[in-house]
Amino acid sequence: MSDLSVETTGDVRVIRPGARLNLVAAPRLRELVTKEVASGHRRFVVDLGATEFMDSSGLGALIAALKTARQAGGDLRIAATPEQPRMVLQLTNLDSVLHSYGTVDEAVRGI
Amino acid sequence: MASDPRPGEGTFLNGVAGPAAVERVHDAVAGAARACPSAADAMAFETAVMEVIGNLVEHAVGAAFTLEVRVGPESLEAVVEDDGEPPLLPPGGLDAIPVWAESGRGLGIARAALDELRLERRGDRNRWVMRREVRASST
Repeated sequence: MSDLSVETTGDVRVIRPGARLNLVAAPRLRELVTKEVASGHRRFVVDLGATEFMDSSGLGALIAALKTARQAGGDLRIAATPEQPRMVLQLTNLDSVLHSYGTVDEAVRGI
Repeated sequence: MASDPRPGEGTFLNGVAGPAAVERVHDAVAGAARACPSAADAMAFETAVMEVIGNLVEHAVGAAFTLEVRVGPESLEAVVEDDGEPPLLPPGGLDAIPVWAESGRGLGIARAALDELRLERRGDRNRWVMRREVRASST
């Protein structure tokens, strides 16, 4: 449920949260990106393909991760966002700040 | 915590507010909402209920709560009662929250995803009443 994995594509770190990016899982995502940046990574794609549900804590973690990446001179994109997280992004008007790319490949390209 | 889904009658659950309660409450709410013929309305309702539960978990750790979910042909309804302190509600809506804020959107999301969100104080208990009307018969 709350598994979280990372792999490298080129020099982009692709992060995959679990099925529910909620207040239990959100702190781990924040910590992961902070740790990644500390070890020199700057460009991230969060693959939301398996994330069926995101709450406001999950959204907050994505905002925090985006800020962390940008402050390090990098960036963070989200990709393959399912319907529910997409709805949360729209309700909060954050779909412009966290634009969702259709696929991970698309997001990785040009980041 | 016990879950007792009874078709047509509602799902009842009780527990203590804390991170450990979240997944079990979520399973129960998602399970109950599945009876709604409209997946879009079920999704919005599930989102809202979990924001209210999240608010409880973050601001009233240790409070005892009950949750009741009723899914009918015309609406999805939930009532959460807890014995925590009266919650401090954000004064503005989602528009009042800075873009880069990392928290504070939970109840705004719940409000936006519902047709009714009401908070009452009854004696020493909080009572959250949530209702989402069923708009579509399918997605």
